[in-house]
Amino acid sequence: MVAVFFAYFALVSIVAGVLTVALKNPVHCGLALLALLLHVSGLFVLLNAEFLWAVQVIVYAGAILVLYLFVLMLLNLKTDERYTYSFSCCSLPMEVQRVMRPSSPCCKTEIRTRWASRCSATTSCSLKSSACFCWAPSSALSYSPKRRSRWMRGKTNP
Amino acid sequence: MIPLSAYVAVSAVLFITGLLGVLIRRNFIIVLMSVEIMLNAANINLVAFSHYLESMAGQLVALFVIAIAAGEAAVGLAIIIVVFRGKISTNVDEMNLLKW
Repeated sequence: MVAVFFAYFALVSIVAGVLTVALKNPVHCGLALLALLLHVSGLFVLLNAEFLWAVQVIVYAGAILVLYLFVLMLLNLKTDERYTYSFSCCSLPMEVQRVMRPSSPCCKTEIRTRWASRCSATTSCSLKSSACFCWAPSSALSYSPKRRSRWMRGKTNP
Repeated sequence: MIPLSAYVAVSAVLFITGLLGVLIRRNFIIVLMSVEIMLNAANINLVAFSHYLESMAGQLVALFVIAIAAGEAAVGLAIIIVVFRGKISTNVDEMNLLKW
């Protein structure tokens, strides 16, 4: 019987953890995190740690998660911007070229066109299901000096 | 009786999930949630070892971890709100003001 409960709590907590990382809408991520915390507290009960179970439910699920959801709804975030750039195999040679010679003119135009095509990529990818995993290594890819200076002056993002 | 290795395996899977979330996601709030997942994985480990070694020290440390996670969430979300007021984004890649 304990094994059944352990299997249930372990399986659901792992699934909820993966959903927390993988879901697109941040509010859904928060609700998956709630499921994770409650099932981890179930694991605490199986380990004879009842006080930690109570603390987990009260502090984590009652206080911290409410704080997260409050901030999420305060900021009114839409879906995540994770899917703006899909790492396709045809762009891989350009990536390598850009890393090797970052100051060459062809690479600069490449970056600019990718930045221009970012908006359409957002809309097209948001139509897909929430489980689509487009890996997005775009920290350096989306760099544009104009955009950064605009941010430095306190304007909103483009 | 559940073996200790089962709890350690669950904890490891949850920790790797949280680590991937920190590395992959670009929404700062989701990154904080992934940190919470990692802290929960550490808590499972601590409580499991304290149960199987019959010592209460692990539960005490887990209690500290929960308290510190509460403080970390409060400070992180406050930082997010301050950044979001100047710049309508929570993308971690765009928060590079302190870089230069």
